[in-house]
Amino acid sequence: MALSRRDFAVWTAATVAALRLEPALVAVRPGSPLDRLFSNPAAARKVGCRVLAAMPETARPAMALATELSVVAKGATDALGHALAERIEGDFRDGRIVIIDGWVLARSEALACAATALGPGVPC
Amino acid sequence: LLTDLRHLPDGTVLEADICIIGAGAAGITIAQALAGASLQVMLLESGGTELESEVQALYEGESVGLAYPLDAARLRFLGGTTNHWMGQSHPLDRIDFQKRAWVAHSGWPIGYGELERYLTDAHAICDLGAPIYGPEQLRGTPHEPDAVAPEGLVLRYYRIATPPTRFGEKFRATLERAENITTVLHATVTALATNAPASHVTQADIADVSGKRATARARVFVLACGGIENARVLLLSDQANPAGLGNGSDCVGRFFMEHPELHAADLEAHDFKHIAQRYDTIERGGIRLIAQFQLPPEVQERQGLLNTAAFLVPWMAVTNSGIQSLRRLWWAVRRGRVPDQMTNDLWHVVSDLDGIFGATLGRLSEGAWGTPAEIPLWVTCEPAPTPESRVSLADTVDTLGLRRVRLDWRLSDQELRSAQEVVRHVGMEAGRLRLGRLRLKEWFTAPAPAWPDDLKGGYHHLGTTRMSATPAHGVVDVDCRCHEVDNLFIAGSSVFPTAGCTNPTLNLVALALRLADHLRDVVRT
Repeated sequence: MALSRRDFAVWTAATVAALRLEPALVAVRPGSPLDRLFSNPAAARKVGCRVLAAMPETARPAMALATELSVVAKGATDALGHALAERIEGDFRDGRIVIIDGWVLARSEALACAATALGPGVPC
Repeated sequence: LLTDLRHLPDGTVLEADICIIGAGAAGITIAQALAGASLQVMLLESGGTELESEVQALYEGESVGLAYPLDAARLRFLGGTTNHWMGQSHPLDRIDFQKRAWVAHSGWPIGYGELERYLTDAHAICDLGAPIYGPEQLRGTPHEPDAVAPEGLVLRYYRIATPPTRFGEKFRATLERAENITTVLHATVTALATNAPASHVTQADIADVSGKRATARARVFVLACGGIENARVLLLSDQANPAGLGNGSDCVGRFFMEHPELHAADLEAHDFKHIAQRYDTIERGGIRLIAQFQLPPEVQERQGLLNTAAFLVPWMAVTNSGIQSLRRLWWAVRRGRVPDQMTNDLWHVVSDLDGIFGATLGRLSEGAWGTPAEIPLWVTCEPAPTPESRVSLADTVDTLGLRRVRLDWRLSDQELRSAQEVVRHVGMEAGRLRLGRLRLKEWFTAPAPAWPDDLKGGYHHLGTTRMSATPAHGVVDVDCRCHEVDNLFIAGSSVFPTAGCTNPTLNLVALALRLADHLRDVVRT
């Protein structure tokens, strides 16, 4: 199933909230550190499922990114947001992008979504 | 003096030093530049001072390549196609004049400097203010753009006169007052007659749609009928050579170019107001500016791409169906086009007056910009010059018995690749600058992308009498003189060997001023 505009509206809104470090918009939720970054983890997982379907080889790097970011951020959501935002900006700057359902995404944000979709019980 | 062939006796012979055929942007520019000079100028216009369906029908023809509205894309009365010109103006770029190894048939025999010399005067003619096109003009204003990374994209600004200059209206008084200019309306040139070797034009045969005939004689003739009709007149002038006048190289009508315009993607913007302030139409001192993201020359060369640009259209980004329809209608009217979905759009407007009222009120107040659904991103591409894209003559004839035009408009994969690349760069910059995320249109991401069915052109017609250093590779020389015909000059965008990714009018006006300077010398000597 293709991603709708609404899915991405939610996802990009969540992303920008993290990028701009607006704590009010970043809900702290149980689960993985990356989960806590997204105000709507379900939308992020849906994006992640599409990333994994389009590029199955991203599963391993997605997990690696999640682990690395967690270590860097030591579990703090703001720090995690900073770290991911820097990577996303660097990806866009250096042309490391992926196109998922027509959306032009930074590789790191695609991997971050994929990581949230790798958890147990995610119906991709 | 302004006169009308319909009021002259049948068989009239008109005489002048210079006969300009066509009173559009190029023809009028040359005529007004010669006003007051010590030479006689005759300006022949096929139409009158208003649109007339009988005359406009002379533009009908066959489109056998990519679909093209031959009759709607041009206007045949005083002022020509400037009568529906949107006024978007930007000079060609330096790279457009260069021979590019990755663009077949590229390269002008003149340099950018030849255009640049006349830009200030061309700006005055087109009411465009100073020739400034960069983001520096907005520094310190609320419209100051984001810091786009120059290695991936260059930001430039189109300038638009408000309202766009209608050459017929603006220069009619000049043409009427000038004692050395005679403008003849309803005078359609049916052929150029020549000496036996077809090296010298002896006269232009003229008719009006009722069948009245006349003759124009001059020392010098200037063909200025537009990028399609210039080729048609040469091909119709086949008394001495069946291939047409000036067509020894078989280039007349070939290399037809038009700028494809595509709705290629949508930006899911985080902050509509931020985007609208910077990338919607900006009013500055009576001139409107529109930002465009362009591929830098280095990227074009490195990746073998054509000169291509993209622009956001924030004013089209609304979710309300009534206002969306209203804007589509306004968009079409501004471009002089019949709206694609006129009935549906009119119905939406009528049935959603509440929504339109609310949106209008909302826009008046700060903070009511809201977050729109998506902001369209359009792309305009340089067309690759290819000989197979061409104007030729059809077997059917018009009311004057003249063979109609057959247009075979073609584009290549290179335009598509270039469009994809500029969109990719905009997507990257939108992400890096935290403006939002870009979503490409479905046809754009297909495994084997093809041009969409609703592909549109900018109504720009170029290349069919291209300029070349030698007769083997084009139709006119560096002075816009026909290689094979010593007293025939050609003005307008048909002489452009390449088209860049900019509207041609400002550029053809500049080159018409250059030609006017040259014609003074030619007639004097």
